[in-house]
Amino acid sequence: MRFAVSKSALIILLVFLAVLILHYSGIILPVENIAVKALTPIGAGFYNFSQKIQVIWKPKLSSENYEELQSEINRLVAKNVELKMLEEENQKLRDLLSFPKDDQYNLLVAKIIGRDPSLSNHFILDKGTRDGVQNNFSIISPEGMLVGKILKAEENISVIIIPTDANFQTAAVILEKTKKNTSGLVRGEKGLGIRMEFIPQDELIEIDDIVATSGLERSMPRGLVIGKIAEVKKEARNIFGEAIISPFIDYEKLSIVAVLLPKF
Amino acid sequence: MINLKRSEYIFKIASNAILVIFFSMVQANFLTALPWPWNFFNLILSIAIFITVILNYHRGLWFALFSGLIIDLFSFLPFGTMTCAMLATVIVTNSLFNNFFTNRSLYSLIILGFLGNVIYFVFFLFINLVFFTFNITNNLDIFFTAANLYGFFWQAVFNISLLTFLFLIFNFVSKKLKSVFY
Repeated sequence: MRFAVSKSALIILLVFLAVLILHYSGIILPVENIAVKALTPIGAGFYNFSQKIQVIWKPKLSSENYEELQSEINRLVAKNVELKMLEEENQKLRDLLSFPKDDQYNLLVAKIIGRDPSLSNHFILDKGTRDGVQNNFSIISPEGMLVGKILKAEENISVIIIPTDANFQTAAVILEKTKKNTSGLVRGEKGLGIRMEFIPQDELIEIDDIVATSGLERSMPRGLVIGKIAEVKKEARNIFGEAIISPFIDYEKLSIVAVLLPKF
Repeated sequence: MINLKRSEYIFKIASNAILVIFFSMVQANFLTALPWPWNFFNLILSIAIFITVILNYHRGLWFALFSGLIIDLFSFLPFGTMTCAMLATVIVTNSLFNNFFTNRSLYSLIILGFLGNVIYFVFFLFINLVFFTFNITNNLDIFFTAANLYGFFWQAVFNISLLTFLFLIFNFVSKKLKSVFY
């Protein structure tokens, strides 16, 4: 078998090698930033086009206002959780009247301009470190639901992971009807779903209980809704139980999100 | 006369560059956002294989290089992963074509298209394995999922369909296509 690398193939491989060296040494970073900045509007256009196609693609449900109503439900669920959190917080702070309660985050509106070409659970935002974005910052939907967190922030763009991604994990609480607020760890399941682990066996959690962030993680405020309990898994031989979480939002349909920028 | 040739040359370079950017952006921002399994459609890979087998190996290499670099700019994976997989696919596909195939028929293209997809998949995993070994990436497990293997099947189906379509179109309007790619 004849396997020869031609002269032009050798030149191309050398060019590639040179680009790799220049990239990893950071020399061509300004050029890359210019290229990304120039290509971002084109990418955003294509991404928006794909979103529009998906609307046509997916069969419409009975009501024309379904999307609108679903969005309103999501917004109200988020609002409800926020109020529950506030109620709880107020209870704790009743005796601390001088406690300064300022909003600790600024909202930075960002557009989703695409997906990572190799990993479908990674979304690309049109905001980067130049806009104050840093790794692990939280991302929320327009209704206030958790969308994910920043995995990699570059100068002009950043990559986020959604809760279904295998690399995603965050501390969370289940807002039960008993108001016990059971803690656990939320993890993505290889892009297929969301699982909550380390739930104490004796906690009485039910289907449809709301799951929200617990605020234990830095840059992840308390009370961002992740989803609701769809299935509870408890086995007597295990110390902890697990639950499958069903998100309220369809991550595929998001085009605009907000990055939570800590004020401190 | 010389000026005319130079302007023609510049026009061809510019038109090829625009095509590369266009296809790369379609791949990075449009196809990947489509619902499953359409998001596994690898337009760039199909075009690279088509150019390599049907048109010109060297132009296939240049296409793989530039489209791969653009995709790498928007990829979470270590820079160079996609370009490396693309270049390796083009080189091995061309070698297979030279050694085992006698003509540029539709059957050759379909078989090479399938083999090209397998080669791309293998190189993609191999490169990530190398990066994982050297601690450059830490999420190797996400590639070895049933969904990804199933996605590979769909990628091959879509890519071969596109190659067949491109071949038929090329045969129909070959002169027009050649003026763009040559």
